[in-house]
Amino acid sequence: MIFGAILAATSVVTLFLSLALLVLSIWKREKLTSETAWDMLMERTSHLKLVFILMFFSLIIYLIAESAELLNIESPSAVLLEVHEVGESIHMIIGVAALLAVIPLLLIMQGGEDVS
Amino acid sequence: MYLELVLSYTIVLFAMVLAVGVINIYYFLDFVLQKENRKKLYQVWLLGLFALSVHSVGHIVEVMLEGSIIYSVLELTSLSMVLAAMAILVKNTLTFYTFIEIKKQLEMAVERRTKDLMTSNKELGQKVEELEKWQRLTVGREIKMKELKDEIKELKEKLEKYESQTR
Repeated sequence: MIFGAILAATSVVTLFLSLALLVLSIWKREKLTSETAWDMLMERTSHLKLVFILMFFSLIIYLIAESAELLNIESPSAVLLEVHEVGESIHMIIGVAALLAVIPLLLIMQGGEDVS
Repeated sequence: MYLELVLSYTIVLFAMVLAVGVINIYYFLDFVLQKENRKKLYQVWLLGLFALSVHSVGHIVEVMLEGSIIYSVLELTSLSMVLAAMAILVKNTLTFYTFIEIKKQLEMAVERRTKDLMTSNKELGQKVEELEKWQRLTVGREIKMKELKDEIKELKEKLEKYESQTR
């Protein structure tokens, strides 16, 4: 039950964060795709790698959680259900962390010039 | 049940694409750092964010309406979007990798050709040197022969003059 609540809360946070970043990315499209922005991003490759690692880690946990859910459909078990719930919660928490780690990079990229 | 089966197959496909992505992480990052790919990566970024939004809604529905079909539909939608984004990344990574391989092969071919050209240039230089040596020798001989001929002619003239005087 507690993991369900955590999952719902992190999902709401992720939804708002991703929508906000989506709007920001579309709004500042020219700046984000400019060469200057890319130069600034390249100066922070270690940060970028951290974001990638977080994203991949979150996806792998998601796959484990989904596998547990599918196994639970085949042969219902309380342990599998628990693994599914815990896995999904951790996956969403890491997802939020990855999104939060992206924000400084996007802010740095905002320093780029508009391409007309 | 049918939707769950489709979902499970999509997850397996997703796992395979992810495995390819993890294996190619080195090339993937190399590709990411290329300036020319920034617009494609921007598309991938938008697709990923949209997929994440749909995925979050799916989880909220999962918690609120347990066992609902809407959750499966939303999960399938988000997974399809992530798969599309990953397909773009993998395709571009492979293109970039092929480009790097072709570039390497071209560089090797240029290096080999340069080496061949340098060898033939050296050989030509040696031949030119030999020819110059021969030319020097033959020209010297020709001059000497001309001098000897002139001397013979002079001596003949002197002999003729002497013979006519003695008569």
